[in-house]
Amino acid sequence: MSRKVFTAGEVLAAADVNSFLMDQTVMSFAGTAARGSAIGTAVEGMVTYLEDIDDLRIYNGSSWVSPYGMTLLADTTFTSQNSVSFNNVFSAAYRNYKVIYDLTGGGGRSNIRLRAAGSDDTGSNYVSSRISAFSTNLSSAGSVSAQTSFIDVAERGDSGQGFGEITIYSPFVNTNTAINFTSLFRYAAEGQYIRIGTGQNTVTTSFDGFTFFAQFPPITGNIKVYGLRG
Amino acid sequence: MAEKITGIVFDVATGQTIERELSQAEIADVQLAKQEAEQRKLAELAKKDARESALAKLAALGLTEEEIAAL
Repeated sequence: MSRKVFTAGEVLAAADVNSFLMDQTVMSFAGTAARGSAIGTAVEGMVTYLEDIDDLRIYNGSSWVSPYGMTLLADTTFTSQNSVSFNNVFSAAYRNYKVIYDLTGGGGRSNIRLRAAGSDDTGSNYVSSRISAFSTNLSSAGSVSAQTSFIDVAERGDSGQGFGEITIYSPFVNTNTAINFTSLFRYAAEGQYIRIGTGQNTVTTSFDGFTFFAQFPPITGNIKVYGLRG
Repeated sequence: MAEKITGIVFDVATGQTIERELSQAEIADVQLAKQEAEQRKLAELAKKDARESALAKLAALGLTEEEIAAL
């Protein structure tokens, strides 16, 4: 997109109005579908406002991206489920992702698996380690051999709630995907826990999603996924 | 009537959330994950018991709490 300086008396061509004025304003649409119908082929530098999510998006030449460093991509509240899967949440628009969850029902721990084209990677491709601490106790766990998921990424405890975050590095890129996580929960008999951990998927698949699943289902709660720019 | 075992799939591209019944393979996978979790829990409890036993033996030898903590 370029800028034009009009001179006095110059004929104002429709094409100039469209390209230098209309396409360079902040265009407001009901959602992505309406935007796609109206614009057709986007041009790098276009700015739109999406009314359904009350947010701005900029076209970078290949996709519509947020102007902010951290963009909410998915926000899902669920009740009594065995698993919660996200499809098409990872893309070329963001390299790294942040998952923030809170669990309000169900018990035990939860794992995650990476996912491509609607299917989980269930192979023995996940290596992870974790450290857990409560009160004056500290312990570590993990496995040198690969497992079929990232284990114990989340836990609820018996207090009624468990909170945490997971950072997922480069899932969409054809390289090993890594994660780190922090899980916060409480048991009446042991007090407040913190579990931190890290993991890596040993294959170089481009993943477009993930599944969060309970070891002792069902689970209830909310999961938000953010894309991280830069 | 058997209880339905479900999971949800949220597609960011379409904005749609679908609740679906898990396949037999997925149910078997959940059961396996549960068994593995129980085994890990037992191993953690055994490790915790061994630690408490070791601490008790150190205390019986006359070490103070500060000395044990310093090890």
